[in-house]
Amino acid sequence: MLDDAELVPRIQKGDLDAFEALYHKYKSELYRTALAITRDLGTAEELLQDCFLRAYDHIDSVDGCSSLRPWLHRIIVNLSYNWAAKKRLRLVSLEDAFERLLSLPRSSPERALEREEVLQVLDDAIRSLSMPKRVVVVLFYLQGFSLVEISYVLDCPVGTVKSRLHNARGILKRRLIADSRISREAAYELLSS
Amino acid sequence: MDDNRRDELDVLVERALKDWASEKAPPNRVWDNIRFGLQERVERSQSRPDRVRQWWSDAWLWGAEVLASARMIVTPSLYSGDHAWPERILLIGPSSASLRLFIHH
Repeated sequence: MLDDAELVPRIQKGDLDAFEALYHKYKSELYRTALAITRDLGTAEELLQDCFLRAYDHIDSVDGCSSLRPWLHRIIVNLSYNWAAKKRLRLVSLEDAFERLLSLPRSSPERALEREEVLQVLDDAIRSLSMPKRVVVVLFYLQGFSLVEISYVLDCPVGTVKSRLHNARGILKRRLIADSRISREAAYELLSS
Repeated sequence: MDDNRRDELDVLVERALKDWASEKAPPNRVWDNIRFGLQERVERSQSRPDRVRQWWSDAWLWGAEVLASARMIVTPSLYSGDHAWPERILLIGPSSASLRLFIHH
């Protein structure tokens, strides 16, 4: 796979093959980021498409020495924020979905959650997070960005990223583990699998 | 939170997200749409000089038409003096017209 430092000058000269190579290099992770934030297949496709068209329009502003990965994520996260601003009602309804999940009886047979269910519950909990916290969680856990890289992607201080991540973890912990729908045994089982 | 300090919750969250995302990939139509958008951009940028040339050509034709319909001729002024060239343009009406318009002072 070609290095970004090789691809950028070629793209800047109008080489569309180089741009296609760039697309195939980053399409999956950018798509997953958009999908993890929006949870909507059609929207994730649109955001990915807009992300690369915007990248092409602004490729001249890139120095070509460093990886394009944070820069591309910055674009797609900004696009996701724009999308969320238009879909505020939809995001609020995700909180309702989480409440429904919490209302499952604790002593029911579902209590003995299988691996898939544990992950599903966690996934739903992540989905219920507010947009800023969810974005940080997705970038940190799914894409493995460092706090400094996330601060670049979100264009905010590292302290803000730390605080959002800390709060998100607190919420997840309180709502999931403290709620005891996921038992310690289930968690350990999952960790050792 | 320290980047390197992870407990079981971190591992679970990471696992949940990665498991959920692992099979997901964008369909081919996304690249088709991007390529279509890029081609449009390339065509637009390549045709820009042509459009500028066309604009100037239209402007000259329009100007000539206006002058022709007013039966006027544009010619450099003999009284050039110290004026800049736009001020030396002289609009002269046809021989029978009383209109003699000097733009220069």
